[in-house]
Amino acid sequence: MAQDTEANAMTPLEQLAQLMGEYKDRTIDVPVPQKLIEQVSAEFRVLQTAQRQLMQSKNMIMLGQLMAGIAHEISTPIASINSNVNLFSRSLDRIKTILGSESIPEELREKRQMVQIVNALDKLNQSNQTACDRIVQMVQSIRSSARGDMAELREIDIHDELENALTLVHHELKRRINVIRKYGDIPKCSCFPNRLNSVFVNMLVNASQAIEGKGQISIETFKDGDTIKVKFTDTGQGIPPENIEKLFEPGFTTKPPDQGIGLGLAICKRIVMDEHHGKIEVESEVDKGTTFTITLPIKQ
Amino acid sequence: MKDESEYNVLLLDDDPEVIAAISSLLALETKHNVLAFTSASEAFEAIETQEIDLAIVDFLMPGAMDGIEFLIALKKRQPYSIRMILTGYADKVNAIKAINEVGLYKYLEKPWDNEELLQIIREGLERRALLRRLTDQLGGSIPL
Repeated sequence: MAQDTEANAMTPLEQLAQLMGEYKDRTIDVPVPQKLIEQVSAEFRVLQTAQRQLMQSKNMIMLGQLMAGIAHEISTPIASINSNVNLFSRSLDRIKTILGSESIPEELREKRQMVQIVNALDKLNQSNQTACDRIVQMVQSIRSSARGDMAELREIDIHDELENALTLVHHELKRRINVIRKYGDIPKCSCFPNRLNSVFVNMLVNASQAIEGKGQISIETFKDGDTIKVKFTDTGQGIPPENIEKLFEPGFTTKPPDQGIGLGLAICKRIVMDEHHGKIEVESEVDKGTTFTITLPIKQ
Repeated sequence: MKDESEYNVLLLDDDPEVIAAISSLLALETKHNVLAFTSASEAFEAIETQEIDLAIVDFLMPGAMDGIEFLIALKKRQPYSIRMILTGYADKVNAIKAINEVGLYKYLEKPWDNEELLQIIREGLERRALLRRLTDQLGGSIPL
């Protein structure tokens, strides 16, 4: 009787370990109860999921550090290039002024080739400036989503974080997805910016992956009482009703292995609900699309 | 107020490309005398002999002395110099240290905007000139 009570106080894994210990030197078959096997299997699955979540979190931290390091390494050389491109433009403006000046010889001013060269250089430089602006914007987005000192509660503009997330997933959306911004008049909101940024990135990547070929993602923001709502609506394949409930369970995925291991939405839910005391809801219709609505309290 | 060409602007960054970019900008748009260094120890030697009106310094640098230590040394020797940090690595701890210990005028992040940088330099040098005038009028030092 005392043994039974002791056995009941142990977890299924501990019970199995004890059974194995008792029989380890014997050659007889060990009769393990079916119920125990099921309990151990269930516990093993929980442990496996927890381990994957832990690995994912560790990977995310490592990835964040790596991204911050890369952004730092890029920011200095791109800063010089960006400055030089601007300087080049200033210098060309001076040359144009000199070429147009009355004080220089007529023959030099009329050298069409000279004017053409300056115009060509100006055009090339404008193209360099556009390319530079894109790199600078990307570096700034990576820095703001990966920097360690932003792992604290701050008053932020949700629209800035959405724009950062859009920059980070630009490669995923370009030429295929039309992004529609329906940004409302919303106040600043107290959040963990880098954590929220990863939720927004996740929402956009999921929406993009749900769309086969060309489609549309609309992002709507508005104030609702003491909260801010952020809605991500895609024109993708939609989610079957039987999968809706499992959507936020760790490990649930319908994507191919190279597109996810089913932890993205579980992590998003944790960030929105546990860290920001908000809500994350989903509405979907097969072949029409899906809307994820994130509700965040304005003050924490 | 000093003539533009009389202002000494010190640049300190271990990245020669940054030095080249800002030196060229100042050469094109101003008449300031630019003193550029890629190591804090070389810059440290310069402040022993030359008056610095404005210093733009990166804080993460290899070698025995980093940017913040250099600016602390500059503040000690030339308290009326205008001291600025230009960095690619936004670090809150170092930023607070810089503001508290260096008496920082501006904390700028790379990539910088040329027009904004020129404006900040202009305003910094105006402040420097004002401090100098006040010091002369009061016939001694003024608390900073």
